[in-house]
Amino acid sequence: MAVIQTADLSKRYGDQWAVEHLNLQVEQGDIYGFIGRNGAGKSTTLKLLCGLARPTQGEAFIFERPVYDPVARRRIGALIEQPGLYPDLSGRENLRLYALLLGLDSPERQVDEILATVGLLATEKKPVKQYSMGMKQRLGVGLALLGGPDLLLLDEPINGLDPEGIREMRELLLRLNRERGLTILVSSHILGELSKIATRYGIIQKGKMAEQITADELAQKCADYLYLRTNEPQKAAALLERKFRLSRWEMQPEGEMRIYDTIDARAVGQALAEAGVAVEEMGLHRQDLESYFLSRMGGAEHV
Amino acid sequence: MFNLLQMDIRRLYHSRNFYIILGVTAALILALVALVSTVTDQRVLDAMQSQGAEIDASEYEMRAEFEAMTQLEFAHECLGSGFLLLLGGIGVTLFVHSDFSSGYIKNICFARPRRRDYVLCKILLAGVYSGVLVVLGVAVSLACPPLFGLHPAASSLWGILQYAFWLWMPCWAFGLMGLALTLLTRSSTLGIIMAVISGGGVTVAVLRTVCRQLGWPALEQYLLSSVAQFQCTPLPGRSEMVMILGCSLGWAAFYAAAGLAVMAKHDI
Repeated sequence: MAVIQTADLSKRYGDQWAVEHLNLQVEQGDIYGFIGRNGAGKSTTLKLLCGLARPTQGEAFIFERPVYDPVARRRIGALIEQPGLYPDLSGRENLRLYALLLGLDSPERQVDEILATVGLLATEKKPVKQYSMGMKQRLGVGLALLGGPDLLLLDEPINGLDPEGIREMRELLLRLNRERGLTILVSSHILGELSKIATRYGIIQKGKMAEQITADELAQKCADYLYLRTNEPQKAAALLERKFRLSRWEMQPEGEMRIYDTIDARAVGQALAEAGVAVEEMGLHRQDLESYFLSRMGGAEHV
Repeated sequence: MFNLLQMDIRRLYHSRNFYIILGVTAALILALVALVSTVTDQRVLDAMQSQGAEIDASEYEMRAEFEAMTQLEFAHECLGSGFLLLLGGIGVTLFVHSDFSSGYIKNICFARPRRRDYVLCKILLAGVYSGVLVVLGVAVSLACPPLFGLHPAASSLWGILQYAFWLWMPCWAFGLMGLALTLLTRSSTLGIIMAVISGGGVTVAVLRTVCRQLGWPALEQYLLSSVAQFQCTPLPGRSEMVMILGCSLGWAAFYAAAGLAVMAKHDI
């Protein structure tokens, strides 16, 4: 089932289209990495999904219901941009207020659970203004978790966190996905971190969806060449070119052969062995998500 | 909507700004009563005269005038100047603005997508805020004169409650100005400036001058600070009551409509 589905979702501010004909699909159980440069339209998309902004055109559906449907909204938790927290109040009090707002049954029990889940029980009485950035982000996720949502929308939840905070947030999101079966849409600039948790990606460029891809598809696409070293490079090259009809390959000065055509590595190994060529080293060279994203975006500008 | 109001009242209870506003209100009234007591004290006047100050008979009679007042008349001397409006306007502005400055407005509008619920809740909250302020103001201005040697004649409880109600009406409507301006600008600056200017009587003075210059009727009497000062008397008659009700509800409707329009139009 599509947990999130948008149809030509568009938002214009003045003459500028922040989001344009966006078709986004998130499946149940996904951790959906939403990637784009600054100003690409990520936050606007999330605001549209949360009902904080109204679309100029198009529609968005959550659990197959319109975004403004109260039943659908009860199943969403969201952290958009910075966590919205009253700085003079404690972490617990911020959660209590939101529980009141949601009209939850037994709010104290839920608040206790959330504080334990996000690891803030020890500092629950401290005013939020004394919290570190990481603690505020975790409390923001805690607010999003109140009411037991099935879908979490998180906008840059690891922005400004130190490495320890990033690790804690990553573990928290993975735990929520695995243990509670939460579907999570998370936008982030930190692509290396996103690649550790995402099962599906959406790349947004200038308000338009440039590509949606699963983690497996990405792994295949990122495998950009097969490299091999043999004891007889020239013989190996001639053999493989003839046998596999290679069109895109090159020989490096130090004798490493790089094959850019899609080819089965095991078949290559077998053909070389039958021809009596000894393979010293063979493997797939992969791009990381960042390299792939930059190549997809057409340059190494700031993400 | 009532969940939202419940949340806001709980937040008000924990709000430092709210207690600061209440503290300033009480301190101003105490200072005012202390000043009145001091400058009407015969020994003080004698001492000033011996120092060469020109003190005439009317200043000696002031004490008697204050002593002849009822509790409510004395309270109105303290509260009628419009500073309750000013402080209430600032308080409501700061309270509403904290939703925007903290980013909590995103949580609120996410959980309660109907924007009119937010505005209606804040209208009720402004009523609670100004209500607490008026009750405190009236209570302090009734209770503190004996501490400074002033003993106005006792007023009836019913009279006190009536006075508090009629004073609350323009205070509440004035607080909605802060709400509307904060929703419009997403900042507290304009709300505070307008609360100081209007609550301090500047708009009344300016409008009075303009109306006189242009030969218009006295439009300034319909401004809320003017209503609080001249209509909310200790024993308002029917015409005063109509004026208070009409002006308060009229301005409240205007500010509420402006707030609703702004919230309906703008994204969060």
